[in-house]
Amino acid sequence: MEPDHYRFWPPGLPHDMPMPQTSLYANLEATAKRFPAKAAVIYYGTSLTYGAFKRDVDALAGFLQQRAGVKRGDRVLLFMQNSPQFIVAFYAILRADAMVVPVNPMNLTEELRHFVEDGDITVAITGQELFAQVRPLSGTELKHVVVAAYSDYCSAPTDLKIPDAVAAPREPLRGKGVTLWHDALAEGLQPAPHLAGPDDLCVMPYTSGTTGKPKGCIHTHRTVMSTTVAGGAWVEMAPDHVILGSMPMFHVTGMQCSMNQPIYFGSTIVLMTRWDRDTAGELIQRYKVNGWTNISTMAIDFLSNPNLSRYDISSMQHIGGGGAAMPEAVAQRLLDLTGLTYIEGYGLSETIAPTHINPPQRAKKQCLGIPICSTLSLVINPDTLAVLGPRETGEIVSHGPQVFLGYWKKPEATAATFIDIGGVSYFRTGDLGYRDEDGYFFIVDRLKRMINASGYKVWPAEVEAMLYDHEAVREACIIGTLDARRGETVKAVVVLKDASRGRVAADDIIEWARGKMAAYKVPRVVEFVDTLPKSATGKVQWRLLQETENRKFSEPAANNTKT
Amino acid sequence: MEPKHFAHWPKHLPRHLTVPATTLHYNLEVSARRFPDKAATIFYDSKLSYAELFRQVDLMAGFLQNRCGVRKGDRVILQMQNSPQFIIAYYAILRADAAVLPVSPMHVTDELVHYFEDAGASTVFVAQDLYAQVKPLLGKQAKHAIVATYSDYIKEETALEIPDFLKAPQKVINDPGAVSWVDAMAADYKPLQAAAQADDLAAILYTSGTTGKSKGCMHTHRTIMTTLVGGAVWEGFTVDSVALATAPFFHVTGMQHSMNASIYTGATIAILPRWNADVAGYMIARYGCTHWANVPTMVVDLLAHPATADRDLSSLTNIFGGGASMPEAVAQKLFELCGINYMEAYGMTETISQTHMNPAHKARKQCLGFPTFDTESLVIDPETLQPLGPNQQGEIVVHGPQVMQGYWQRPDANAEVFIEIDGKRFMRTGDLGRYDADGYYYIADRLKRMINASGYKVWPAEVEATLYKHPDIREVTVISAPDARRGETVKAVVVLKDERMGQVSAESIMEWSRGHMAAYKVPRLVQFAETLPRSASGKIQWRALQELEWEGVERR
Repeated sequence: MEPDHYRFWPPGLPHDMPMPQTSLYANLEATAKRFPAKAAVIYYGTSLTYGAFKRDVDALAGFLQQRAGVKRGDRVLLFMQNSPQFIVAFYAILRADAMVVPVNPMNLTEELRHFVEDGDITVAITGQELFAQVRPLSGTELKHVVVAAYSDYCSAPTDLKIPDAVAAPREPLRGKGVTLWHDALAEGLQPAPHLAGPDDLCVMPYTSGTTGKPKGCIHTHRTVMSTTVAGGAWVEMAPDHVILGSMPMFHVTGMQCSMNQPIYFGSTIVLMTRWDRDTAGELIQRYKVNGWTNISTMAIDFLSNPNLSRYDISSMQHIGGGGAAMPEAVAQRLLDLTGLTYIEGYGLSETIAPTHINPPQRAKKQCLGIPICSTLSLVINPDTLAVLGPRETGEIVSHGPQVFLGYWKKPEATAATFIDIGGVSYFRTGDLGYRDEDGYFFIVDRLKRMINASGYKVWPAEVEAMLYDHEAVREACIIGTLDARRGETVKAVVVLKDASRGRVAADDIIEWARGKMAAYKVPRVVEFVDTLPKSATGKVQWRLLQETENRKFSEPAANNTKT
Repeated sequence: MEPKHFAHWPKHLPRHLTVPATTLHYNLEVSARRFPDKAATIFYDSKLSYAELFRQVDLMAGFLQNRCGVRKGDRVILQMQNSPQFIIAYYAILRADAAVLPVSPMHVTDELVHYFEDAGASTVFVAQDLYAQVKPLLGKQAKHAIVATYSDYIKEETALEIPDFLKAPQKVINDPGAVSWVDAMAADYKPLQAAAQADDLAAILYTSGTTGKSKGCMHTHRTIMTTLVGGAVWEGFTVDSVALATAPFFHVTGMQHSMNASIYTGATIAILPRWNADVAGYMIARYGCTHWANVPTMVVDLLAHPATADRDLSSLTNIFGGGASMPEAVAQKLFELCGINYMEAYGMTETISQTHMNPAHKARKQCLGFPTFDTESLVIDPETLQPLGPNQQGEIVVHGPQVMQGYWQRPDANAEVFIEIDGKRFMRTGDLGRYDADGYYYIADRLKRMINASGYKVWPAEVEATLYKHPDIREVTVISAPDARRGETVKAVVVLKDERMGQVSAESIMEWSRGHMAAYKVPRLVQFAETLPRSASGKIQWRALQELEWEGVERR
């Protein structure tokens, strides 16, 4: 029997889509050969053509192989903000048959150390503004570090507001194994013949989890290709479309929707390093942007701009995103302004972006959408694992060509995340939801412990583990709390050591955390308590604390849609 | 100011398309690399994968270079029905850096001579059933003939009705200069490194005209790329599309919208060499055909076929055509069955298919659509050449990246067909029409003398020139006459030589014609007259005769 959602399938799109049997780099190769003079990236007024893009990719790949010793299957750390260099480096690593390990530029040294050690990484590519965090690892764990100055790719005079990190001139950084991007390319080294095929390692985004340290999600060219091709086709991406790239590319949404899809289709990426709603409005108008995948908080910020009417945004043909639900009032404002429906989607690092997207011609609100091409999705009882029917809430599980191969060096975690249903291997998302009679999926709550702050996923266990390093902290529990702008934000419930009681302020804890962890993980609220509620086995009952917190507000956290 | 029609532009499509800067063969290379195991063609239930297509193209290109001496820029003639071999030969010629000269399988020896001589071609790909037409030229104009047997590519058992000429096994050919397709492949040559660039000549497509002998339209890889990519994007081709190929590949509609657009996107081509409504319906239902470029008469046939009622045609997402208008009642029935509108378009051999297309969401009937990607169109006064306004009738002229470079070695014809308006080179289509306030174009009548019989363009001057060779004919003019099925058809008004008057039948003129011209050109009606009306300057007034013929009949 046909799945219910086939009735609402986007017209003209196949249910199953044959996938290119090549590496991702082959996409760039074909596009660069077809459109050498077309802008691949427009970066605050400076264009990088596909021809020049590929030339730089090949030169950096040559450097990685010949000077940094990168071999097929090696992991290379990519620690950079959105920039042309991020994209060039991403494809250069692939061109060198190696695997990209993209990490959030907000990470600090101690967090980087985990990626480097866990991934056995010896080569990193970073931005000069982030180099201070890399420096302690440089020359020890990291044998080679390539440092980029974004201003190298932002040379045309412009009236646009340029973030400081972009405007900063190239610094003459030195160090053992440190090479400036500019110098690496200037060597003009050519890479060896490209070997990677669809089943080679491609990219490993890290995701944290309930157990503390972030885990690497193993993706091959084949899994990444699937959401590149099918995801782009779903939103009707076409050559000569112009895509606004405001989502961070280290994260799967930005990586796929704002980078890999446009490169496959031969579109142009109008790239932003830092989110700024006025700059976004100006860029949409100036470059006649057609497509913009974002996170709802970004869209909300954009649409609430009192200056919005100054910008002509009539070129927009697709706006959508994921990460958090889109409030109805904001979606309505978008519709009134542009005639466009906000197209929500759903996916995880483990699925390299979408498993679900709303069909553009029949989108539902606050809805994850329907399973995309070649993807199956079910709702199961998380305890009995029985498959549930329409409108029964349970855990969402998915099967499809985009599902990762497993967690890096974590066979137990990998085994625990897959489940066999009727001979088909499904990935357990850890998200609670249901599907309706039409086959559309809705999220209800998260089964897993995770805080979604403006789309940044904060894993309480990881933050707690770090807080325990604070000399005054005896116990800590991290929960989510409501935040007007971020949707949800991080709250620490802390029990101080007896000696420190009354001597340590909430701000002291917050200040300390800023030096230890990426800013988005830092607790915004700290509450001191005498004890934490514990279960009979002595486990901290975080869920109890979370429920208490939720009751303080008239509504549950904004991103938890009620049934 | 934005052109009016931009308001009706499909919302999801860009207004501009950058034309890929590669050769056409690169499209096959990319698709073969991406989808090696996917079916490139389905031919009476037999499939050929992209990897295999790519491999065979290389072998055939190697043969052309090593054994036929084909060099960069040479012209190679290709005379075949739609078949896997047509596609292999087409891409092999391009892979060998040469230009394809596709000709209608209906052409007879006399006509072929012109192509060989005019284009200076010496190598020909020909299907076995057409070989008799080529054979008299072997050792003369034709130095090398590669003879293909369609049945070589029908390997699977099939219940489909296959015409005899397709089923026929390979015949032994021992003529010097001729080689069988399988032997050419078995020679196992590798081609040289590809040297052709986007602006090199890729095809010469012959079209007749008002002056008699047909002229070759010169197209580069880039002009051809323009409409195949534009068509793929406009018609919504995806990697999973299946194109039903019933329009002949030698002609621009089938070449671009069935063959080349599919190869570019990695789609599958379901090939039907001989129109058969039953088989077409089977292919749509069996293989889930999504795209179908055709002439409206094929849709008429399919919908009228009794087997169609029980077949699922819902996979179709785009039915595209031009060449003749779609009857409104048929368009309506099509919409009821498949939920889609017939997408009418307009173009010419000179523009390698479309210059105007209807948008899927706002398609109008009996309408050419509006200028497609990066194309400009105007209506001018054919006498003064001044641009006219909305709803004023004049000659349609076009400017765009798909317009041919010119006619092969015909500076005289080029001087007539191109005009400059505001510093841009426009091509005169010879068609009378107008555009409305929304920027949609409509055809009114043809300025040029041409008969459009089910999409086959018949050029009266060419038919007349041939008929004058008939020993009994003193004078003749060829005009269009209404025809229920073909829309219009070919009629000859003949003045016999005095001594033959009353002794020659219409049937004998038609019979003679069948031996001297392609079947679609053969007059279906012959009327004898004592004289032909002439102007003061002595020119035969064909238009007066034609108007008489069409009196009271509404022209589609």
